[in-house]
Amino acid sequence: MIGLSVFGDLLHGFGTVLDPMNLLWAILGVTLGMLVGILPGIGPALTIALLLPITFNFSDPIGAFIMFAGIYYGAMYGGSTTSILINTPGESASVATAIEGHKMAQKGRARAALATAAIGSFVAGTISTVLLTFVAKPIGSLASHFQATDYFAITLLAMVAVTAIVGHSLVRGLLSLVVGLFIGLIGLDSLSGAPRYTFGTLRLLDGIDVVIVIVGLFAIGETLHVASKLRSTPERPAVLEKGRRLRTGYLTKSDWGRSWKPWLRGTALGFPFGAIPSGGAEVPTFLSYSIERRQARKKGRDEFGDGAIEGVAGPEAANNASFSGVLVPLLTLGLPTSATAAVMLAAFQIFNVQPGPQLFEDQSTLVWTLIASLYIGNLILLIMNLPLIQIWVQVLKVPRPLLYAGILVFACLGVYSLSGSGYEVLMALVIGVVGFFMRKLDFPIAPVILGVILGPTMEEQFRRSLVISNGDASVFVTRPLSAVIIVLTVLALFVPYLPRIVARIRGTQPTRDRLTFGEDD
Amino acid sequence: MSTSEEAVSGEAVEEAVKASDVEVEASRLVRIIAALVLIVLSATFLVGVFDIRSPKGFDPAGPRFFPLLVTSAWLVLSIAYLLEGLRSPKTARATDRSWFEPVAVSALLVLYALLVVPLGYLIATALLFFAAARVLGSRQLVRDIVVAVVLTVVVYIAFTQFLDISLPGGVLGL
Repeated sequence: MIGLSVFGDLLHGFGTVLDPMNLLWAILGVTLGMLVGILPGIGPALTIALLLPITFNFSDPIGAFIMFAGIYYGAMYGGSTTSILINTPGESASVATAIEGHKMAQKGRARAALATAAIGSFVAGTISTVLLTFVAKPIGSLASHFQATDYFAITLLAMVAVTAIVGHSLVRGLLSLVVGLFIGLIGLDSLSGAPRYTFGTLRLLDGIDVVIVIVGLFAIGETLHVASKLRSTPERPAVLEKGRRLRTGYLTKSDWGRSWKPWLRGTALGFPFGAIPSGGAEVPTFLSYSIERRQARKKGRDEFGDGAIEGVAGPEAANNASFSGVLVPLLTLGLPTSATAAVMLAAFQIFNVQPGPQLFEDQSTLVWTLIASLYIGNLILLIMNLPLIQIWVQVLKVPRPLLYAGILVFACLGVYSLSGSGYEVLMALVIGVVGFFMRKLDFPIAPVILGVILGPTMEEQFRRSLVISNGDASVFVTRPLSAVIIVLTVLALFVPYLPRIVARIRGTQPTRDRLTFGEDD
Repeated sequence: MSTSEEAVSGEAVEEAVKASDVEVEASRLVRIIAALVLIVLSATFLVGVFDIRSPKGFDPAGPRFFPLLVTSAWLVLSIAYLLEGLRSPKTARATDRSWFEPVAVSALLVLYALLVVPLGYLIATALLFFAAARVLGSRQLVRDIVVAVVLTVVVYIAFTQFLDISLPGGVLGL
């Protein structure tokens, strides 16, 4: 009776979340996430990276993870708010929302756009969390049969598939990945104890802390990038029509009628795409956008490009649902499939919690509390959002120089508090400069983070497999599961070229969709 | 789906892409220089593989194998990136990007890293915030000073008192 034990575990989780202190962490997390996420150009990965140091001294990881879930939801919804109001999506997953959402705002329908995004996020978040509740443990016990070769193969698949899908160019994406893998190599080799690329300094023996890499690439890199183009980009004022109908009536009857199907379709896309290694929310949000557009055309009602509510409802639901999807491989296999998930994994590691098949047995309370906190986080988000929208909008008025100066202060604080010396700040700056040039040259950031975090695991599993097989490299292809995953990895490399391949088979001109699939060179 | 429909949707997406930061703004020259830097780095690290101590033992792959794999893949990809840059059209995009601000912000961070312990968290951080805001174009002196001081003090108190993270007291002797 799997079903019953799940309910018991979940109830236990709810019991922990509803502890007043934990509830406070959840509310605090959502608030902080909203506050930072609503700032223009800042996505969930950067938000979590900036807020990581707050939890360094938590004695209890449960409180920290409840807060992370809140931060994530807050940041995600904050990002949608900014996309809708001032058209500055902080990450690619919000781009689809910005297309129709900002048009709606310009036509004086900002409240309706925000409402369909918030309610859609709640619906999608809740449904997908229910799915997560029921699939996580079974998948976890399946994964407990995994051997070293399987782990090696699936880690490779995650890195390669995400790299192939998220970037505009396979060469640049793979370059990002190898640079990340290289950063992961720095320090003492875990198996033999040999120092690698430490350049004779003691500082590098422990390797480069992943927090430094994340803060450097996201926070400092982004600030330098914005700094270089401040002069040429004018500040955009926020638009929110005066609220005539406060509290209720954000959505008209026809808005509800037009929103609920896109919410459900978005959820159906978001969850599975989040769960497979496809880079998180980017692919499902764009798929949802184009499906809703096609549906609207079929009905002969085409507002798309001119502020169609379906174009906000669908992608927002997909965005939120993909988060629960991303948690499936993250919790059951320890496998992050997006930059944000990689940051979450780093957070797990800070607390010495190793996600994977054993997590549901070793850390049962933690994992079920985390899942329960997703339900609560969604609800808090809905309650705090719409009524308080006037307050959130004030955050958008922070002038950009102060905003980015503040990001620098928090970035420095985060890396400084790792060991209490200025050295970490310098290290983060060096990585930030790398991030700056990566943005200038259009290199994707996510593969670097995945490389840094997954590289060491992958190497360990690889070498462990060879130790077990006495050096026989054929183990990776003779075990069926590993072989299948490795074949999938190779196939993933061709995904970016899919539109072209399909076009060639059909004998038509290829139409490039550079956002869902990488642009080929 | 007809081609005209595709074109319309392409436009909307294109617009959104412009609005976000997903834009290629580097000229051909910068790309080629970057590729050359990557080639030099990867080649150096590839040679560096042989400096790694590799004990003969139970581990068939050893500590050298992965570095060798990673750095050689890096070298090959860098060469591919160079070829890509060389083949790209020569029209360099007119760039209105400024180099002053990023260089100045980097310099501020170096100073901060050197001064945060001797000066103390409060003074160094307030100065960092103020100077960064000025570099990034803020022109309201009083506001910048007030925000710098208030933000720094709030962060200091929150982190030292509530989160038990120790921050340097420095010359203020806190």
